[in-house]
Amino acid sequence: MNRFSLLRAARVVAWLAVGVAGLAVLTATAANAPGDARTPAEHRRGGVQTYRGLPDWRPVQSRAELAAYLAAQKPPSAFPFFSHVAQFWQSYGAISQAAPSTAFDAGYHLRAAGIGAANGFEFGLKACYEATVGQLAEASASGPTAEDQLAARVAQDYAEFIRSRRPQDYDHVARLKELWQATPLWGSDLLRKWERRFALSTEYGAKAGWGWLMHKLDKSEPAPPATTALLLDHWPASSAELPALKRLRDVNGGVLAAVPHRAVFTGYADKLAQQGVRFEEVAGNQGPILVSLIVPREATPVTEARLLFTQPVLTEPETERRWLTVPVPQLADALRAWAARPELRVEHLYDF
Amino acid sequence: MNAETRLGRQGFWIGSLLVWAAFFGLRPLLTGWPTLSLVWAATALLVLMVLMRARLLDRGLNPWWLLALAVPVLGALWLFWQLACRRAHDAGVPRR
Repeated sequence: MNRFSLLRAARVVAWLAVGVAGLAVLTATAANAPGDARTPAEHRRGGVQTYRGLPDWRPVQSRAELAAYLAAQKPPSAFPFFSHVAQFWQSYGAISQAAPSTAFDAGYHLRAAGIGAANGFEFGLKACYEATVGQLAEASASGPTAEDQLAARVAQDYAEFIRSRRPQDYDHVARLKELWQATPLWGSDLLRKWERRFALSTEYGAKAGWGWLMHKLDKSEPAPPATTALLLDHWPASSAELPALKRLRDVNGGVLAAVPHRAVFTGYADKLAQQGVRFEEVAGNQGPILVSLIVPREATPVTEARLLFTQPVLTEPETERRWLTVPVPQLADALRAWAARPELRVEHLYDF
Repeated sequence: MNAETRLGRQGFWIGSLLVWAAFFGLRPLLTGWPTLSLVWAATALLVLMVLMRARLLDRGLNPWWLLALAVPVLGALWLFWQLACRRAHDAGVPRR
């Protein structure tokens, strides 16, 4: 190896060292849980996790919208499936820009892309079917059939289920049995009845098969629901309405408590705030926590939080979904202020 | 296009994508016209059936195999495999 090659190799090593050092700094930023956090280390999560919950949650919101839409007996052929797919990717892009810069986490982005692809595949197929065969069969019927009503009930049940559990754990086989055993085979609007039977059998059958495959690939039992640690300034006067709230220990003038992660967290945080409790830390974080609100489009801006971006609620054109961040110590005040404005609905708190 | 017209795999993919693009491209413009919207959906379905029929012939299968679509899940999967993934039944054999 000559002197020139050695110099080149040294230069490459130097640049690599600079790169590794840069990554280390970024990774330290990613943790984002302040060093003076009073929450014990085993209960802390990185501050960026609040933003990373959005791709998990966005399809849940779409399915809740679909369920509400079907419950209102509106035609499935007019549901904006493709616009929902577009909203997923828009929100993923917007949250990626809004989140604090961290080291590139390939695992997170791959998972988000997988969720988006699965969501797009399911809604894309539904859009193609409902806009053609579904629409023609709808036109032949005088009103919703028993199968339409079952579809609306199952959509609601499924949307509720995936708020707190894995989609593959939903019992689609039981729904398939209900379709064929508890719904009359004959009656008025026969063409629509049998078209719905075919469509629902396909949907529930495919999802049951996918769930079976997921269980074969991942033999682990569903993990017990994860919890989020809250550092409260005091224990609530009444915890009867909060059966899942667990008091862990007292920490430097505060009370460390645990509540179930994800869906349950939102309702519990709101009830605690309405009892005058203040959150000092959530999962060891005092920085921003992501919130989504459903508000009328004309509603005045929310001053208690920083607006990141908005998306229209596609099936309720007069409302929109706003994503905001609030510093954790101000979260309880914000929840109390929003409760006083009946036109606002706190949809979800992304609890790290 | 006559009753014996065949369609290769590539042609099937391109044709299907063009039909879906045209269908969803025009559909929003027909929102206030329910009858026209129905006619448009029926037309798209008819064109797709014609494409599938021609592709089934290319696969050496009887067009009645289109009825496989009526079997939930498995019918659509089988037909997708036959129409969108497999080569012509006589691929590699010189055609006269």
